[in-house]
Amino acid sequence: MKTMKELIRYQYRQYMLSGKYILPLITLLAVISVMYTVTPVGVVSSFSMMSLFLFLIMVWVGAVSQEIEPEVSEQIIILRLQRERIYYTSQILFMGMVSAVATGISMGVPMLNHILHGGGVFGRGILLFDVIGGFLLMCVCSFNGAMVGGIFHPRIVRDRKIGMGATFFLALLAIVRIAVIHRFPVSKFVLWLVPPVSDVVSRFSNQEYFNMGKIMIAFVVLMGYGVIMAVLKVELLRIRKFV
Amino acid sequence: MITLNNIVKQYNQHVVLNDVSLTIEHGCSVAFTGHNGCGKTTLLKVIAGLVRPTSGKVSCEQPFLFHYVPEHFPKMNLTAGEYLISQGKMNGLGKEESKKKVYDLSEEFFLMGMLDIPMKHLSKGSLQKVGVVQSLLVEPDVLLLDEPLSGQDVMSQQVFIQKIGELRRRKVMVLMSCHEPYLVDAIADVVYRFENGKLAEIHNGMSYAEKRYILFFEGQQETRIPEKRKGHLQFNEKGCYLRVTEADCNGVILEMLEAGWNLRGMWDEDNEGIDPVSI
Repeated sequence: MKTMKELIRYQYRQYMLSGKYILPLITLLAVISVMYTVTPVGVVSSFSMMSLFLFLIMVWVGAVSQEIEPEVSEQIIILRLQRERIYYTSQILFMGMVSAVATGISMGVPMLNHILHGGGVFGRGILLFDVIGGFLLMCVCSFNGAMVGGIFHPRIVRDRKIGMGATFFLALLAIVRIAVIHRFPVSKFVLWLVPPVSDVVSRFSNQEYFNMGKIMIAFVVLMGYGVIMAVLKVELLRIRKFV
Repeated sequence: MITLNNIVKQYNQHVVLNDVSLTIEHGCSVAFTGHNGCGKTTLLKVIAGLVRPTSGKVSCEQPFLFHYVPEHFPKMNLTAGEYLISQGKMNGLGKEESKKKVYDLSEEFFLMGMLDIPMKHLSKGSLQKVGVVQSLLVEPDVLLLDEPLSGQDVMSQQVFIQKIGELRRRKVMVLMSCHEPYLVDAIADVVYRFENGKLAEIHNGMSYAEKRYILFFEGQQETRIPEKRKGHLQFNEKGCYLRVTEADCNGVILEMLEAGWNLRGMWDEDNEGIDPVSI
């Protein structure tokens, strides 16, 4: 536990000092400001739409963050820990934390604005279920984004152009999955492999209130995809090792 | 004990390690020498389990704690102090214990004034010292050294050799890729030389001060090849070259001059950047 805490602290310092968070953060704030320009907006629909944007931004964050730690220092840490899985797991936990922070910003900014402007941002008052449901939905979508961004790690796909192309393609598929399956029903036999981010989010986009049962199902399904991608990445990195 | 059985490592068509078998006893100190790119670093990483061999097996009698000093320590945004303390904590040391260890070692390696400087602003020698200090924070079972002295000042080199000597007395295995004969002399029990991906033991418990040189000769029309050198010379469009030991060097030069060749170049074989084929 102590080691894991130190690993996450180390990654936090490396990430912050790299400055790689600045552009995604600016993009996130820009998306929030555009989304809430025309008010009032529906609570559930705006949080659902924001989940999709967060997914895409976190794909970017996940892809960029794995280039921060030099390969040699990774090797030194892995030898020091004597267990590769701990190191890779700490990276995934750190991405989980970044997802939570991004979700906090995505929910916090409009909610604060709503409070400061006397309730003009959302079409109705914010309930505790809105906060919990919105947080779970956005957070799990963010985490899926980070995992999609990291699945084609430079050591898993050595050619960076192919790796980045594959990441972009997978992220795009996650967004347009429903439309593709609708147009080509046979594609569902392959597209079940892609995280169903758009499917899940679309179930909430025209709702007035969050249904906690539906939220929990969506959370479990998407978290399942996220965890499977994380395990896959860790095991592939363990198999591939270094050059 | 670490055992390597028939290790082969191939990158595309290039065989770096060719059927390497080796047993390293507990507490033994081994040096691997040879040209740049001959496979020394790859072998160290294969032993540590960082690189998967194409075929063959590495067996360790127990899960060893490896510490690794790389040839080129990366430039990072963290300060040297922050990085080192963090590494100590990852080794299981408490914050204060880690700090103390870092400060003590930094003092010995003349790194004290640089602990607050981001590593990306440190010189190659100072970065190399950070690499050495991180490896000594906790006593490992196996210490992997990849050109550990490159860029370090003389005083730090002496401290380093003394520290490694202490670890050897405590039966830490030291595996080293190295060009500097005096370091090999000071540290290694056994020395292996890489030749065409294979290991040849060239020394066991004696001095490894003898250098090897590459001699380059240009020929004239009436040149001949001395009988003893047939099969040892390698030719390119400008002349021929051969590798000789320091002891043989003068004799070979004399033979070649008598056979009508002109000596046009002489290099330390371990000197970086010399590629005899392109002379």
